[in-house]
Amino acid sequence: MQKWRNLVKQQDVRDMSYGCALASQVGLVIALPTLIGLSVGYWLDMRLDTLPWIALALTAVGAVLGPVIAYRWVTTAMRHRFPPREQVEQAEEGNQD
Amino acid sequence: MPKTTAGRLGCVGLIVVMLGGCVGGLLLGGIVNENAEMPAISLAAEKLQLPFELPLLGHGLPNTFPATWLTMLILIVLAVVGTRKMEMVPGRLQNFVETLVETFYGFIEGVAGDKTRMFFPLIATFFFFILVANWMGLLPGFGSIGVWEEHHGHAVLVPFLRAANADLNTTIALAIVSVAATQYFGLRTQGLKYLRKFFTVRGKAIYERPINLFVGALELISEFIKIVSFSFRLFGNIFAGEVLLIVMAFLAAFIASLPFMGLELFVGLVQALIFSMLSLVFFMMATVSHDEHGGH
Repeated sequence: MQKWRNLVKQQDVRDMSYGCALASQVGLVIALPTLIGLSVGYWLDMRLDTLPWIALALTAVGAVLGPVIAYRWVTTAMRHRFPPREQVEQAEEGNQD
Repeated sequence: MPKTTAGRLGCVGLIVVMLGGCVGGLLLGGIVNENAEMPAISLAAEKLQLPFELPLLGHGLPNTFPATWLTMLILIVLAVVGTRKMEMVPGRLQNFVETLVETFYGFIEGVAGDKTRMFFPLIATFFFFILVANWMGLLPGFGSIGVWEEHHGHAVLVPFLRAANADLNTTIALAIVSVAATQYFGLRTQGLKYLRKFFTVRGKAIYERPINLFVGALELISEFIKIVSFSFRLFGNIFAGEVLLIVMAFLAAFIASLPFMGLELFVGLVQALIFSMLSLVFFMMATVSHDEHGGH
């Protein structure tokens, strides 16, 4: 049991699951806005009888937003987990005082 | 490897029983059973017909419902029985529960640091609920024991139990709880300043203000995308696993299913880990003030 506990406490396993979570979220965040845009646009088109214009426009909007959101998400998430060197040093200095 | 003779004998016995089951299945059922009918795979949870009427649900009870309650029952009973007679020198069950909780606590502490105590109850509940629900769905009886019903002239098996996370309703509920908790933790630690993330017209230069407004709108949209991505990932993985197992069982019974059972055990663990880890990351990101990051 002790062996298993040591294994789980290792930084590697934690970083691996963090990476898995990050990667799986990135894939979905790129794909989903496009699909959501398409379905919302299609629904609006059906109601307003303007097929296919709103669907096309919202799909394009979603396709642009997806990668932008994914980029912002990855940069902030990585900054939280692995803060820049200056910040770490600042925090360490703050702790010493 | 177990060290005692009895343990070794037990291991060997287990393997013999499994192999015997394989061979027996081959002899009795044949690898390809031509009479076996593929069960209807339904994307939505099948409805069990009840003799009485329930509020909101009517006569049909989704078959993931009993599975969800069974999961809750297992977790609650384990927690209550494991902590009923707390002692300094723990007994067998208390030791088991403590090991589970301590291991996961240490795991979260490495990411959350001093905020672990605030996040741990919810994150651990997510993890253990999803883990138990996923693994329970692999037990015999799930998806195989049920009643035959007539649908469009075909006899369809409606199982009594179905893996809880193979229903989009369960995973959406989990996702909404997670995203709502993110907002709660954000508001609790930062106060109304937290809402500045979504609605802001401030900026150093004039031309930055509309950009910041747009970025705030992006953040708001991504909160909703989070609900969809959380729920679809969990549902997709678990439902795909169910379908995979059904297909494998009907292609070549007993033999082909075994490695995929192992795969599904792994997938169930990884999905539980990913769900709780992502929730934790979002909680962390919501509780750290925006200004602390060098004006970003």
